Amino acid sequence: MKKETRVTHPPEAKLPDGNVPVVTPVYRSVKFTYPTIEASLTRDAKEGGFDYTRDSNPTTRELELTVAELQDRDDAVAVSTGMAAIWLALLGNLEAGNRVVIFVESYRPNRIAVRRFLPKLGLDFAMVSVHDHDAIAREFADARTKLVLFEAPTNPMLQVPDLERIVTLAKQHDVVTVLDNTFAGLHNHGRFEIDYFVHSLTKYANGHGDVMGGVVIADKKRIRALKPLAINMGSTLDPGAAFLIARGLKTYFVRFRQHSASALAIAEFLAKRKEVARVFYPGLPSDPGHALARKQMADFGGVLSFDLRASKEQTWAFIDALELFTTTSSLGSTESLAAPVQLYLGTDLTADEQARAHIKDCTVRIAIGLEHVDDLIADLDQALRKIIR
Amino acid sequence: MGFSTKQVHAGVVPDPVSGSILTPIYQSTTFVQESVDQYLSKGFSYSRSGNPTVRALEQKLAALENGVACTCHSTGMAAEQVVFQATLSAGDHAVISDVAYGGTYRLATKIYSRFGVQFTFADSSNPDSVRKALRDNTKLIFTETPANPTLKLGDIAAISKIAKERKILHAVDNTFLTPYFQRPLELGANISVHSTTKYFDGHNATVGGAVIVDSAELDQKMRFVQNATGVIMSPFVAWLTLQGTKTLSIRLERQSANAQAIAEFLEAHPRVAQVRYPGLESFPQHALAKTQASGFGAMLWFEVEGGVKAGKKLMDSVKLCTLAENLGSVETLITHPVTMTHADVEPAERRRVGITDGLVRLSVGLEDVEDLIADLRQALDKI
Repeated sequence: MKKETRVTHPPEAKLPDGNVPVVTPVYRSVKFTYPTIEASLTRDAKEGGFDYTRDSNPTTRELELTVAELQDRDDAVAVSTGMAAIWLALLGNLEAGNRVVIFVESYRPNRIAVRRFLPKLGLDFAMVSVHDHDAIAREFADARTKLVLFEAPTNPMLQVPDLERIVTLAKQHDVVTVLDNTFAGLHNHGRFEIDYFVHSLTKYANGHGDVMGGVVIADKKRIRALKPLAINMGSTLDPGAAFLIARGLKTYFVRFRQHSASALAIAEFLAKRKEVARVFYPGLPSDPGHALARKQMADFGGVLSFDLRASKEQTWAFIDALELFTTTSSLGSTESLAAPVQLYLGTDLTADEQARAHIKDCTVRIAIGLEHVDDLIADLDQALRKIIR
Repeated sequence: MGFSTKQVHAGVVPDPVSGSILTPIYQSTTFVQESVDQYLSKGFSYSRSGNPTVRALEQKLAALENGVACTCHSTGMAAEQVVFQATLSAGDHAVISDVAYGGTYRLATKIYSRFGVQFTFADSSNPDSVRKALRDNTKLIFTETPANPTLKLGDIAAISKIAKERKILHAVDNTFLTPYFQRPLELGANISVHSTTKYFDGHNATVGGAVIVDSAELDQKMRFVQNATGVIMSPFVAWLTLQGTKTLSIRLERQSANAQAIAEFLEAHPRVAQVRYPGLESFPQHALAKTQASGFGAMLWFEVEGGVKAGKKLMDSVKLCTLAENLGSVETLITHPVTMTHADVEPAERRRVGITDGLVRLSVGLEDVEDLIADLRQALDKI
C-alpha cells in the first residue's frame, strides 16, 4: 500500500477481547460500515445498527436511552436544541387544518413557534391561561384541536398546571399532549400519561452551560413513528455534544437537589424583603401553586421569579448591580443568572396578555447556580439595598 | 482575493484576548451582557441565536461562495428544511429537480405537502421543463447540480434567468462541486445549499449544513428560522469544519484528478458497460460541465455488466473502497444503490431516477490513484 493510501486507511489499534473503555467514546465518525452487503442487511443491523450519524450514532444513542429511562419512558430522539425538539414534536403530529392550544404563560419561543410559524403552514391556534380549565376544555372540544403544547412549571413565571386534569381532558378529546418539562427536570412528572416529553438538554441535563441540545421522549411506538421525520429534518445532535450531556447527567441528581435547596432558601429570603412585592416559586409554601406542585413533583428546581417594588429603570439597575448573578437568559447551569423578564421573554405579548401572564416591567427571573447560597443571598441583599426610591 | 487565500483567512481573525490564531471553540451556551441597557452590544446572547465559532464559519463560507451571508445548521437536510421553511407557506408552490436527492424528495412529499405546500418535480436538465412547471403561486425553484447519484446537470444561469423573470427564488444544492468548482450565486441563483458533512469537512468527522444567500433580507429570514426552530450547528462541529475547509481546494484538486483517472480506466474496462463522469468527453452534458464549473468533482458512477449479482460481487470484493453511502471524504466510498440505498424503492421508481441494477456509485477519495485502480481492477476481475 502506498503511503498516500495508508494515511486515509490507518492501521487499527485493536482492543483485546473484553478490554473496553469505561466511558462511551465520542463516535465522531459520520459513517459506519459492514464487511459485506449481506451483513448490513440482517435484522440486527437494520434495527440496532448504525449507518449514518444524521440517522443515529452510538454516543447519542446511549444518551437517548438514559434520558428516556429518567423520564419513565422507553425511547427518545435527541436533537440539536430544545427548540428543535419542540419542532419535531409539533411537525410529527400536525398537518394543515389542525388547531394547537398554547398558553399565555408559555416560554416565548414556544409561543412564537405556535403563533407565528404554524399559521404559515396552514394551522390555527388558541392561546388561553394554563389555569383556565373551562377555556382549556372548550378549546380541546373543538374538533380541529389536535395538540396541546405546555410547560410545568411554566417559564418564566413558574405557574403550575394541573397535569392530571389537563391530561384527562386531552384524552377525552384525543388531543396529543406535548409537555416541555425542562423546568421540572428529567425525573419529575414521568407518572403522568403525557404523550411526549420535550427537554432542553442545554439546561439541567448538561448543567454546565457548555453545550446545546434537546430531546423528545416518549414510548417506543411514538418514537418509532417520529424517527423518519427526525432523520429527514436533519436536526441531529452532534455526538460531541451528546458526550458532554451524558457526562453532565452523572451529576444531575446532586446538582438538581442543590439548585432546588438554594432556590428555596433564596425564595424565602426574598419573600421577607420589603423591596420585593411578590415571589413566584412553587417550592415556597405561600405560593398559590405549592400544594399542586407538591403532589406532582419531588423537588421544585432552581428558577424563580419575583416582582420588585420598583420602576423598570430601577429594576434594570438592580440587575446590573448584581455581581455574582450574570445578566443573561438560559438557566440550569452551575453559574447563577438573572434576566429582566419583560425585555427578554415578554415582548411578543400585548400589555393585557403580559398582565395575564404575570409579567411586569419590575419582574426579574433568576436561575440559581451552584455557588454557596449565603454568597448569593448576600449579593441579592446588596443589590436590593441599592434600589433608590 | 484568491480562493485558497479566502479558504485560509476569511472569517477568521486572531483572538483579541490571547492572540490565538485559530478561532476558539466557544462552547458557552450563554453570553454575559454588560448591562440590561447594552443587551446584545457584543452581538451574542445565547448560542441558539448565534455563536462566535459558528459565526466565523458562516463568514468563511459566505466569502467562498461570494454570497452576502450564511447560516450553518445541524445537517445538510436541516439546511434544506430551513430554506423550505423560510421561503414556503401554505398555498405556495415549489418546483424541484426530478433527480433531487431522496431526502429532498421526502421533505417535499412527506412533510411540506402535509402543510399545504404544492410541489412539481421537473426535469432540471431542461430549462424549458422548469419554465413549464411554474405556476402563479410558485415561490421557489430548487435544483441540484450535479445531481445525486445520476450526475445530471442543470443549467444554473438559464434556470436563474427564468426564476428572475418571474421573481421566484432559485436555490441550488451545491454539495457535489463546492464553491471551489462552482458558484451558483455568481451564475444568478439566490441560495446555495450545502451538506458540509461532505467536502467542507472532508474527513468523515462531522455532520453539518449551510445556506449561503445573495441578500441580507434572505439571510434574515434564514436566521429567524435557524433561531426559532433551533437547527443550529454545534461550535465544535463548526471548528472542525473551519479547519477542514482550509484544505478544501487541494483535496478537491487531487480527488477530482483521481476521479478522472478512474473514470478513464473504467471506460476502457470490458466488464464496464457505461461510465458517467462530467470530465469524460462521453458525458452527455460535458460542454455545460466545462462552462458552468471550473472542475468536474470527485463523484462518478458506472454500470457493470451482469446486473444486481455483478454489482453485489464487486461490492464484496473491493478492499480499499469502503462500503458506505456518504461522499466527499478522504476515504473512497463505494455504493450499489439497488442493494443498499435504494433497496426499498420500487423498481419502476428506481428506473425513473436512472438507477439501474448494475449501477455503482463511487466517491473518490484521497488515496493514491494507482492503489484505487488496482483495487477496482481486482474486484472487476472477480465478476
